[in-house]
Amino acid sequence: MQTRTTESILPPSWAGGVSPFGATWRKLMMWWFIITDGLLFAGFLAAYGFLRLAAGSWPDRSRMFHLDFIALMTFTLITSSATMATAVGTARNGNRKLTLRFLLLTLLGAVAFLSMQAYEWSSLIGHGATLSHNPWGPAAFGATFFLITGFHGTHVITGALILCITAIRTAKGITQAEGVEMAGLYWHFVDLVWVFIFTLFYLV
Amino acid sequence: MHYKRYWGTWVVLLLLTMGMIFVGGGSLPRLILLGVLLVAMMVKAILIGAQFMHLSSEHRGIVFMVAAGLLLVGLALFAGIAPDGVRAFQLRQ
Repeated sequence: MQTRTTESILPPSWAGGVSPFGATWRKLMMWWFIITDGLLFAGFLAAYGFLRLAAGSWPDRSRMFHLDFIALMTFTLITSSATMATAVGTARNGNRKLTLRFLLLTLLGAVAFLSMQAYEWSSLIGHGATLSHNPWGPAAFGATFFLITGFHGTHVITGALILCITAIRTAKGITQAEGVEMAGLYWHFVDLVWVFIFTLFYLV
Repeated sequence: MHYKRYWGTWVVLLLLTMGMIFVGGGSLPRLILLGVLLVAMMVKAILIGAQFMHLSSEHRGIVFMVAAGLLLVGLALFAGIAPDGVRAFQLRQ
């Protein structure tokens, strides 16, 4: 497995022709993507906060959600984040087999999370909740819930695809440690967003 | 390598999550509950950023870029939207 460490990056400098942040172009662009995508979620969550306050009343979460099931979803995503971090570590160590193993474990976590999310959606839709209708109260609940969790779920699907590609490339021995790290940054971002969604939607 | 760091962080994140669920199901006053949950949420977010995303090892410039970009915009969104939201809530009451 090819490895490339950050020691090969030129020291940070604003003198031009070098990296001012001491990071590769790939890493810097990934961080920029994460920041802009994070701002998108921040806008959605801010809109959710406003709509919830403006609605006056909001459905009782204990009537709509099985919190132990949501806790299991959160546990799955956090564990997949830990396996992804380990995969990045083993990739930097040049251990291809172990990297592949942890990438596949992370992918398993992604699929498990998506399955649970699909089950939750089908349960709510089965009770009559849609983007424009909510049997438990204000319609804004359905709109915000499906939009935000759907947007997050799309990111999880994309993350699963990235993990698939990274795993295949790792199996073939053609990926670099930095490639695994970039996939890791994206996956941890997906977990990070869920931390906010879990708190603001399911607990508050 | 840093495997202990990753799995140690995993344990802390799980404990925080369990704590948040426990507190959320309790009978704390609403504002205190909100405060506790938001603080726990931010601690989890910082742990993921610092340990899993290696921000604690990155150049300060990247850390400031991420923190300023997200925090400042978050504050701007809050400052711009929260007062109207609260006013709308009060009008409903």
